[in-house]
Amino acid sequence: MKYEKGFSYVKRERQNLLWDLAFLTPQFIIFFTLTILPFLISIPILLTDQIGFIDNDIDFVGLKNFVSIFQYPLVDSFYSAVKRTIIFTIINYATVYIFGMTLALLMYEIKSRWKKPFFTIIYLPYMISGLGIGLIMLLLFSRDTGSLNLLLLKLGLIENAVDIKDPRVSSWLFPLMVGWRYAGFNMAIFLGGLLAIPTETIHASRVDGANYLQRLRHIYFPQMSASIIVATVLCLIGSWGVFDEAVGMGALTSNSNVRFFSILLFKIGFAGSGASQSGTLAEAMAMSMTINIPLLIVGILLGRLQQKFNAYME
Amino acid sequence: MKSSKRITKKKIAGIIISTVLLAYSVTSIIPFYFLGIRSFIPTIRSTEFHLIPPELDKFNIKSTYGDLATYYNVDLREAKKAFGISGYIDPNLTWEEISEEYNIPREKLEAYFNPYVKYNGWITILTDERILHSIVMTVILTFSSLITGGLFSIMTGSVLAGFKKKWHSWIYNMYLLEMIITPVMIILPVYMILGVFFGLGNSYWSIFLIFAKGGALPVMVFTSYIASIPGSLRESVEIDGGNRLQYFIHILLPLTKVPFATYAAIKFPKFWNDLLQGLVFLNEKKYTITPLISSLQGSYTTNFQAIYAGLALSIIPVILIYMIFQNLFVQSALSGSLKG
Repeated sequence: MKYEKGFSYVKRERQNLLWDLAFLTPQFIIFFTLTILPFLISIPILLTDQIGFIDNDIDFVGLKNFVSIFQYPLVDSFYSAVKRTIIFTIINYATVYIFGMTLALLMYEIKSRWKKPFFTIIYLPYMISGLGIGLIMLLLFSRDTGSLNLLLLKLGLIENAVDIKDPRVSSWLFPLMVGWRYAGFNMAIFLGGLLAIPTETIHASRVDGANYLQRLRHIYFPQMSASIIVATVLCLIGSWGVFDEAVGMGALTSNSNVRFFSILLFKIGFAGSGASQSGTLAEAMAMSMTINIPLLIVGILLGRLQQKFNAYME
Repeated sequence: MKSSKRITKKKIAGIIISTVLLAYSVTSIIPFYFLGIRSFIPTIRSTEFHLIPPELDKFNIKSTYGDLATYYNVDLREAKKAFGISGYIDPNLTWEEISEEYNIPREKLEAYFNPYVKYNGWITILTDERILHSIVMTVILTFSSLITGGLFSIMTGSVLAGFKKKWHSWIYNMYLLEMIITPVMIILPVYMILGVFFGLGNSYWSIFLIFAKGGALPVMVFTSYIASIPGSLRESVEIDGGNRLQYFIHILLPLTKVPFATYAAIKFPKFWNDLLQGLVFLNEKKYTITPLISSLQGSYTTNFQAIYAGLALSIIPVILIYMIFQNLFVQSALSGSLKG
């Protein structure tokens, strides 16, 4: 009797496992092949001198690619792309607070029936393609034809037209527009954090006579730590992956002001083995690893921190 | 006295907040508005400011035969057919001369050419065969991968929900990793795998697979939702002698409509708007809508109104879907359930 019970238990467990695998495998194979495996297969490639995706003469060169990205001729484009991306990341991160946090705090206080329409409109830019944002930037701020330029000039609010093709202007206007696109997205993250704060806590602080700034400092911000970390990770990693918006601004053709790290990777990686080749595929992969592995480690560490905050709050 | 003061203070604060939000919302709408307007403004007049579409140009009988092709993308072969002209026409002849020579009434010419001159941007876009093809392919690709990816993710979620085994949470954490892996980060090796190893270099299948692979968001949404479904449902199926597949099809799938809507509302615009995979995996002839619009800059060079019309056209479906889903989506965001 006892034996039989144990036997049926084992049998059921095994059957359960088979069903688990049957349900998990289809997606997991695709997911693993297209998300985790890419990191593994780039390791052998970046130790070689492989020029393009199809190369019949591949030699092992060790870590030479990691040296050559810091040497002529690659180093100039590498440094300028990295520098440009760092500036973009900093300003883009500021917009997370300028737009996302501010809007979330405002939306949290408002109690009218306009709340929903406001949310819908604020989130709307996130629905357009990044390419569209880039094209709209040109539409609004081209020097001679930009619609917003012409409007502001007509109203007398600016004396000279804003020129999006000017490197100094585009270095702050571009991240601002990208920030506008993600405003609703970041607002939703922060609003989620705010709405999770127990109302009793806020009531208690009100009764104690805390003013808004005190509440902000001692209740809202500390309680939103988990959301702040999520927004930080997504902005940090997303900024290094900015691509569509830059292509909309002409990064793949003529506009060198928006040639970010991702554009450089794309250009070198998919250049083909033509005469205009600026670097090899292996070098592009080495470049990608040099930047992305540290980013991933920071992302994972921050993710751990976020889980800790979440556990602490619950 | 004191409490009434507090109420008025609160009211004023409310008005200020609403005003700020209203100002931001209006500013947010302006770019969309200008996009619409600019799709009607010919490049020649784009240095003037227009708040509403201006009085549009009319067909000029003094313009030459060739002008219409150069400036307004008129298909002259079709035009010749429509007016019953056969044989060669010197591109430098004006339409006035042509109308006299072939006895075509001016009204007929005006009726035929006016729309081209007035709505050049939209007509160029709507008659471009590539646009129609790419929209059809984008629709097929987006919906098939949404449904397949969703189904796969529901299957994954149905196993992972509750984390009954330790290795379940390992798998879950692997999916979560996708949140910090951007497409650009892995595009080179992914092309190596799909394009070179599997030979899907110029195929919609590679994009389909990338879209349907699942990831942090779908797995999170479905796992947490399925975990909230009472386990007694599953037990009752087992008691009746049904297996997991029967439980999945008859009980679980019909219950996952709500998380599927959330998943679709977030992923639909991502798939529809995707640029990178299209540029990498497809040839120009196979481009989906967003890569195609990026290539219009090359083929229409200075015909900006056509580019803007194309962009507006590609935005319309996303906005429509957003409007359909926004009620549910905004509701869940405002109730705080879209946390983290």
